[in-house]
Amino acid sequence: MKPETSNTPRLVNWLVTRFIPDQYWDELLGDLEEIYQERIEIKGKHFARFMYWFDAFHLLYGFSSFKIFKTQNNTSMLKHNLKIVIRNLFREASYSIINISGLAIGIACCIILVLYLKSELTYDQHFDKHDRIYRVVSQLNSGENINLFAQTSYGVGQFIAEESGQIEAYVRFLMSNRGYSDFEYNGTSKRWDDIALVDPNVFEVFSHEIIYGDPKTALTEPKTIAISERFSKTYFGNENPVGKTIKGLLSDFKITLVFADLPDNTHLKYDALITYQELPTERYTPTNNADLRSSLWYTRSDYTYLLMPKDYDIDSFKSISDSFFEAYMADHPDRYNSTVDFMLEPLSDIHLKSRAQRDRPHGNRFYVAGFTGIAIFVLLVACINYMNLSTTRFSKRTKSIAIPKVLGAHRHQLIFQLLTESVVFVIIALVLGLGLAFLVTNYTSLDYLFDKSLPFDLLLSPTAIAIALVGVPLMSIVAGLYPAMAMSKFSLVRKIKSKNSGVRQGLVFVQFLVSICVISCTLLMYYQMKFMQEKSLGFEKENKLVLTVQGASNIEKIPVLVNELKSHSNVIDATVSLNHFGRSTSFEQAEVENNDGEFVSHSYNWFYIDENFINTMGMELIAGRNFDPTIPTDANHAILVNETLVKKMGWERPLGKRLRYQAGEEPSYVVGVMKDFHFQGLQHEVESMIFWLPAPDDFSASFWTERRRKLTTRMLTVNITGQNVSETIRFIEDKWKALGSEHAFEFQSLDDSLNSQYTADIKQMKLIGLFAGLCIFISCLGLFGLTAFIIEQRTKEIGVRKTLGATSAQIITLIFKSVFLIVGIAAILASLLSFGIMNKWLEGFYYHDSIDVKAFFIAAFFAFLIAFLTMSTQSFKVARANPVKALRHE
Amino acid sequence: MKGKGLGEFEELVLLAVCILDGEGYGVSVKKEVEKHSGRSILLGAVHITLYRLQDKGLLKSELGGNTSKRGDRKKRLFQITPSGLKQLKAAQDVRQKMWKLVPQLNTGI
Repeated sequence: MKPETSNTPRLVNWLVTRFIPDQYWDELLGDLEEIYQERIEIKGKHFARFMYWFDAFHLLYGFSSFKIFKTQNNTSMLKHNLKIVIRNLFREASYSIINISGLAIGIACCIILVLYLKSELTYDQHFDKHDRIYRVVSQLNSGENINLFAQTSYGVGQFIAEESGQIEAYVRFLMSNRGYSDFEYNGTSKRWDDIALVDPNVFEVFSHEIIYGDPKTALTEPKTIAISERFSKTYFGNENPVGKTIKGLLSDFKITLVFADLPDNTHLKYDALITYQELPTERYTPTNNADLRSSLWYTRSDYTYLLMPKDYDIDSFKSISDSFFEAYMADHPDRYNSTVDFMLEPLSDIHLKSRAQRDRPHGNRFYVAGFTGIAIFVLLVACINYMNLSTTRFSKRTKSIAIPKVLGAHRHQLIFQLLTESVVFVIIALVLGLGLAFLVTNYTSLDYLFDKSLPFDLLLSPTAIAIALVGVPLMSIVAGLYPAMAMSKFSLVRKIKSKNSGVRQGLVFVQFLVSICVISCTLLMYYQMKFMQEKSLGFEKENKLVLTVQGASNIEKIPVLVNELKSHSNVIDATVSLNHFGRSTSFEQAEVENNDGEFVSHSYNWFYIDENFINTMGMELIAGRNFDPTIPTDANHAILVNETLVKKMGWERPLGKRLRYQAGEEPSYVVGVMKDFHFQGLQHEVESMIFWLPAPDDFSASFWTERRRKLTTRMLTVNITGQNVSETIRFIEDKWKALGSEHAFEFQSLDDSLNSQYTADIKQMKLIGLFAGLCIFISCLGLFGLTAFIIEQRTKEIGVRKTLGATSAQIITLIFKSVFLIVGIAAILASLLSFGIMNKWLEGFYYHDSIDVKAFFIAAFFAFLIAFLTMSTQSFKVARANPVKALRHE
Repeated sequence: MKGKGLGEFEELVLLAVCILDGEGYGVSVKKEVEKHSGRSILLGAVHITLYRLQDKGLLKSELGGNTSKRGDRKKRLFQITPSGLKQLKAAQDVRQKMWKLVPQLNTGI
């Protein structure tokens, strides 16, 4: 009589033996198996298995309606317990609602945060070979300055691969927005920010989901482009665009492939890939010549990815890097004693772990840790809350627990009954929580705060379902076991006394600890954000319009334009620079003269400006003079430096100090020193900075090929008064158009583009604030339960006190005293905790506010207020009530 | 159909057991009913009905031989009891009588 035989589904067999009377199941299984074997022959295994399940359940169902259904105690007890649960659910409706909603909100928060974390932790893992792909980053060590760059020269991939022999493939991504941003087809024209020039083997290394086209040959021909689905839809709707030609700014491109849009969790986002052959041959297939060697030192333009053999040890890359450096870079004349180390970053670690500069925006480990903490806390608070409320509920049911005991119920039966209740509650809460999370992720703008869409389908993955299957019983036990144990334990003689409220007070303590902690952290984050937005950057960022001027013909018209603009009363000044200030600077190293007149290597940021820059930006010159275009030697040979550079070089008399690229060359001279200003976000320390005055552009020179003329850009920053802004902007636009520029009028406010450096932080702060609110809300529910419990316990005591002449005020103090003590201790501990956490967070900002103690007081006050409000409704009622009622209680 | 009457499905199952004459058990009864009625029937329904008929005393059963096809499990072979046969006949009689009372309409049958 073995219950299982052959390969029929075991679980079904077990169920059948469990629920069908012993004298029957053997024959039933026999019949099931007989049919099963026949079905395998006729319709295959899957069908047979499916029907086996179906038949078995039908049998079980049939037997359940039949009187020979196994009448064992546990099933009928289960029915009984469920009935009691349902009755209590409706009888104490308000408690049930509070209890379930608290838990449901907790679960919903947790689900949303888990979705976020899952997305955050699985960056770039959708590429099949992600565990073998690495990004090359280069570390420039010059003197005391060490800088790690995310980008490298175009030559690194090819020559490092030749040098090592171990590297299976390399792919270069040149992210380009100049010349390859506008595409037009059949009258539809659109600007795209993320377009990359890429090696043809990109699809072999990075697996893409291909919709149309052949990835092997897609980018092998010149003038070919592979586009994303989104890109394709913009121009072609649902048609297959492969083979069509799309018009770019410089030339036409043949569409050879359409790939599915990249998921949100990828660190390098692009809408279209253009073949690298678009670039000049010396870049596409570089040869080992002087240009290449110089570019290895000076060009940092490409993201280079390497495909390594399986289980490659990153540390062994050091020797490859060293030998590459010796072979290609060490002998460069402009080396200035600097060295360069190339290092590998595993693809899936880039998002959270990369420390490289000049990279695309990426994630922050602090927030991932923070959100994990919050997810656990919210769930913890919700569970604690549930425990508190349940104990309260159960304590009101002394009789319904005591009577079964009198009648001989075992303790485990009582526990089982109370646990049934928590399982039912947890399941209801889970369903509600899932629904809530679904609504929130689909119908609110939470995506905006998370900076990514959170597809709810992630929840349908097997792991998520497994977690839910394990989570429900676990949570039921965590949340329900304590109340169940506590309530079933007491002997009949002993009434529930406030003795077990010690644990409950501890739980409320934890809730308040977490809540206060979260509130004060949120406040401190807010202070820091405000500090960063208000801190003087060393220049005026308000009322500056930044216009992008593209194309040599347009650049030549700038002086005329500026003159006309200045005629308007609201335009104060204008300046031309090479880059967008506050967005990017170039980085290089050269030899700089030190105090003793010797040339030493130094690396710095540099920026091309004109003589109006300092005035327009409202910067301050603390020594020397501004550029003067009337002095012919100023162009390319006069430099302005910032204070930091002066400090780093230890100059006592900075004016007249020299800088040169190589010995024998005519050096440049420092003509002025500028007060430090923040050209990067306040997260970063101010670095050395040098300003150059470029020689006037001569576009007729042979250097200016047609292509270069088209691609070159200048930034025109216009300083306006801030009055009648929209009218002023319209005026500027009119003048711009009057010049006959072929490019659309595009401008940004400097303020906005600088603030965008903090967007991620502001969003995270809002999110944490949101979850802080929920934490507090759930804690309030818990407190509500606790107060109810305390009052319930002390009804008689209060009645007696009132009879003996206590006033309402005295009674209220009595109730509040114990809770306020808990909140007070929680507030102190929470302040210490959040002080530690926020100290760590602020380390991420080079310039930060000191921690404002005010935040802790506000948070504590808030907690007290909430505790007071939650408790007052109930306690006032009791305090005012007629003592006779209280004395008659029970 | 309370009391002693037979349900339609019960009648089919009883008839199938009669046809199989001692060889009737879950699967064979299911097949027999499917063969004659032309509809597909769930095994569970057959079993429940068989047991119910046995409870009513219309069928009797004994455990019979096992085959390897069944994973060495026994089968319960059903046989009709005299009262079962009486019930079947009674049901048949009712129908016969009623059919006779139907006017011989010219329906082309």
